[in-house]
Amino acid sequence: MSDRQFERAVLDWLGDGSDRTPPAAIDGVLLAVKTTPQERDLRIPWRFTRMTTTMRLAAGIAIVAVLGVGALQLLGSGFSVGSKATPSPTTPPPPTQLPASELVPFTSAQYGYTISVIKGWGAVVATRTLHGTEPLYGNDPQINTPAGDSIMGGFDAIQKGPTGRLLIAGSPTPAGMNLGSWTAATTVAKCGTPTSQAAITIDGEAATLTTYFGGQACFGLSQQWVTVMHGGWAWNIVWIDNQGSETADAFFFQQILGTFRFGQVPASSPAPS
Amino acid sequence: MDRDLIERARSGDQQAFADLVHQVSDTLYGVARRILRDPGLAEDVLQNALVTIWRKLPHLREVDRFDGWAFRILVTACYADAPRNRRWATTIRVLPVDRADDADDYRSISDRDELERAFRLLPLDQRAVFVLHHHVGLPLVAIAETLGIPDGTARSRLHYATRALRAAFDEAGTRGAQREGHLA
Repeated sequence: MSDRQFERAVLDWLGDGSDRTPPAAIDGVLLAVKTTPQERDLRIPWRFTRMTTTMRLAAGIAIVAVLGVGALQLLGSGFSVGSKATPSPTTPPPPTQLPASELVPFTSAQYGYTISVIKGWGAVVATRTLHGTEPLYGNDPQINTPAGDSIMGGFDAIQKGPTGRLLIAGSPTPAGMNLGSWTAATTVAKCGTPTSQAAITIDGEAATLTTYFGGQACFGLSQQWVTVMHGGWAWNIVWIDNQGSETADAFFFQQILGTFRFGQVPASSPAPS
Repeated sequence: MDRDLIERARSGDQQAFADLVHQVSDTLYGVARRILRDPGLAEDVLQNALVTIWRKLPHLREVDRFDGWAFRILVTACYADAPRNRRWATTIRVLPVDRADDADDYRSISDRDELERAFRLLPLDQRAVFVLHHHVGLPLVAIAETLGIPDGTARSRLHYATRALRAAFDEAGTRGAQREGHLA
């Protein structure tokens, strides 16, 4: 076989397949970037060669002054450095980006939306739509109304496992309601004063993320509520988990929220009797 | 590459970075997919590499070197992630059966399969040099600079990779000729 045949075969073979990046991969990256700080560039530019004599003199005086103040503070503290050394705070490792290959899309038969969740998670699907400001779950967050799609990493995940539970439901927007009043009538009415609230977007729609962490935990659980309006419907997307893993929860929830896409919503089902 | 975009992303502008990602992701994904021979794994590696690029952008001193710098981060991510995901050998390609009667197509399919098999046996560092040279079109000096290795190392990696693939290609040719002999 000639070199030319070989090169042609290699180029043909290397050219196989599509190079188009799956959109979900890009969505995941852009979501991660929102919560990932850039590293600071700590290199100091060496600029003395471009400074005037006056500037050098001023810089020299400033350095001497800083060193002098530092020395005085050291003397004032009785050279106690070392004897009172405090342990440096340990920062938890940053949450890991969820590999796109570990996520699978879940499409709601009741509501038509799609969201990516972790492979192997179980789902109890809604059998009717939500009606107005009807509570998404009762006094026990593990028991949702039949209107909520419930997706979780095992049925007892809240009590035993590190993973939590996703509840999603929507209702035709009650008359006169907007995002603010919908949030107040569902999220805040259910859980009270939140830890924080932030404006976010869900599939291009303005939304509110309301969190209940620590002292503001709702029913003893950390909860993150997203409220959003779309297509004449008002939605609740809720993440519930044990307390103690809020950082990881926030990171994970934001990642999967980035995959949420509204779909065709079927007609609302009759109000419960 | 848009210098302004890179500079804005370097100073923390997330929207600029999003635009930059849309510009570079296909190229980086293509390189990762070819080195790893697994689209799912390539996707994971691309995500890790892009997040690393975002984190480390403030350290990039010369904006003009962004492409090479990004390739280096990507290849490093390939080295880091591939050993943890030993599922490379499972890709199944559907071949058009109605064309298999054509001897040239048989040859082409056979060539590709042999090249694929031989490539998967190569160490990742040889694969990376081979892909950057033959797919991206980088000269060896640029590959050496990109990967931070001596010129001679880049040359020897390309040599060994090419030799292995050439042997596989010749083997496929020999088998094809024998097969045609049997059919005649």
